Amino acid sequence: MGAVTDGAPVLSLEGLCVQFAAEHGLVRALKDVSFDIGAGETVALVGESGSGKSVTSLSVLRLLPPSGRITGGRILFRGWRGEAIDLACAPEASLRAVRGAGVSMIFQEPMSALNPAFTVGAQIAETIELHQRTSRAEALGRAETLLAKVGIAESARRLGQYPHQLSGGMRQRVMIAMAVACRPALLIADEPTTALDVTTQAQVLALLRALQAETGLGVLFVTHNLALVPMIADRVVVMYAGEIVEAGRAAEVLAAPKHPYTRALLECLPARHLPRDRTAWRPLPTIEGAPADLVDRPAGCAFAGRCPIAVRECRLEAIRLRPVGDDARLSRCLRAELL
Amino acid sequence: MSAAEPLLRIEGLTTRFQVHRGGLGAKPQVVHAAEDVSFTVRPGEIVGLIGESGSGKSTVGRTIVRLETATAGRVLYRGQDVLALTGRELKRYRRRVQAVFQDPAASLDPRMRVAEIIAEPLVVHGIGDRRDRQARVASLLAQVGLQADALRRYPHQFSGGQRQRIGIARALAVGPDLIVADEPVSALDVSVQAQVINLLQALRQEMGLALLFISHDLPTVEFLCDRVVVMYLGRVMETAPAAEFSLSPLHPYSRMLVADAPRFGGRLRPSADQAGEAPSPLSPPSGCVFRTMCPHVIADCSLTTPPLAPVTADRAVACIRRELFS
Repeated sequence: MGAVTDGAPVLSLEGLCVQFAAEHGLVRALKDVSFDIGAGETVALVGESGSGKSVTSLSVLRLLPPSGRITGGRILFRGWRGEAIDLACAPEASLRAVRGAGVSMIFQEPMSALNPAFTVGAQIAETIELHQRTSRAEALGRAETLLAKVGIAESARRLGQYPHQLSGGMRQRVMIAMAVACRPALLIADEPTTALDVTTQAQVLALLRALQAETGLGVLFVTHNLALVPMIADRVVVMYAGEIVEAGRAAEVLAAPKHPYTRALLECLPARHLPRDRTAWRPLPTIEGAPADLVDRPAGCAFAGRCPIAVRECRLEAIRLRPVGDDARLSRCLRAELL
Repeated sequence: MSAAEPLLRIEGLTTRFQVHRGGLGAKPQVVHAAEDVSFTVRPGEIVGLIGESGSGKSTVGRTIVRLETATAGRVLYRGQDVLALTGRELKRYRRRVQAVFQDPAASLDPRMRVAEIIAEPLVVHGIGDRRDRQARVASLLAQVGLQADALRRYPHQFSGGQRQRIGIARALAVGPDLIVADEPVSALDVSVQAQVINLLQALRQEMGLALLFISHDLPTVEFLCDRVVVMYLGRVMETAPAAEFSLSPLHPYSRMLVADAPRFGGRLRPSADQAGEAPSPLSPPSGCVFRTMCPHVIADCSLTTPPLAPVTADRAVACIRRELFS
């Protein structure tokens, strides 16, 4: 694991539950989600559409759409000073103080998060002024330093440019500069490199790593790209149908998954079947069936219907997330020891 | 057609667009989307066209299916130049070469039922009577792995993977020899990607369908394709058998692409610290278009555009620094 934390984690999710009101009923999008992120640690949150990974990341800062509601659990944020605040029920004013200063967020598409009508410098300076007492000139000076820090050449000239004048990679760097401007303790990065080319992606990831090493920032990295996980994360949390199905050290989970879903997901990847035998044609393994219904959840394991090793017991009652094998591994599978 | 004759031969294909930027009175600028692109697709072959955004890979695909107009060069289908085709001949070509796109939701008419969507190309091309078409649609649906009850439903009632299957069924309806598939699995979940990749493989296996598979994802291309064509800023940098490419990329750009692709057991490269401005297809560098980003650049690289020249029997590279590949 990366940095050793001095005890308390920066963020602790404890039994988080989220529901959405939909036409066909209540969608139980998150069910009892619990995990910690330590200072200087990167936790990757992976899963497919509908798994709840983005709902989890949006819940932390209470950015859920109006139809979504936190129905249970706590979101304990400790920040730099250590006193915990429960973001799940904190008043709007405390949330505003935390957003951007204690916890900041970057998204897949920086263009939709940047204001096209203001210069890059004005937008970074605004973030600083919102949380700290500074003059505009001071804030702009800080903005220039930040741009240089995120690897943008000619930072003084860039301050006066508008978002459309920058490339995708450059915009994501601006977003990162803005996100770290007020020295947050936690950065939530939701698919931050998905829209970028691989060479740009490599640069942006290296930048995040360097910033983290320097500041001790905790990072929640939401991604669908499993190959990225061992490269960027200390730990990984795998979600399926709104629940954590497996969690543990990134390299170990990907090398030897202890939940049938994690294993099946990895097996689907073409990268796992290279170099390929070209004398015979063999199809990629797939996951048969469809994801579980989140309105009318099955009684037992949500993956049982698609699981190659499911038995009758799997369908009877909810399965507990439990320690398996080595110290840090958790699996929500009755038969994890078989894997 | 002899066995050696490719199904599709692209020769010096160049597609440029005019864009108007900078308001009224500003001079239009030219986007050099594809410049002097050459490669072949043999019958039943899967060729991967790989590159990053702005590389021109989609433009090449769209020019082949006549959705864009070429500025120069030739696209030979079974020896016949298709760029000049019009009317009935163009229609006949479109029966042979079909397209599948990244976002199936955007390419399926939301007001049509699946049965109508798949039958539409049959109607357009006047294939069969009503009953023949019904039978053909039902068999296509089974071929792409959808249930018969899908026929009466609308696109929005399907998942992304199912919609992509509908798009593939529609492309197959007229019995093409070649499908140009532009990022057909990029928008899909990992487990669904595998299903669509399997479907494409099976179609090649069972029907001898050839595929031009346009993608930015190296492992997928390496797994699915027989050969890869690597593009950068409108030009072909390298062509290689897919089995060899990742193990021994030759062109400096290919090497960068392979090194930066996330890989199990891979490591994050130390930061390429300062981000310079990557060149744009609006004003590609003189000489080799990759020279401004190339770690092996020498003065001569700016003088002439390196031609795609063979290194071995089945590999070719566009780079003047031949000593790097020996």
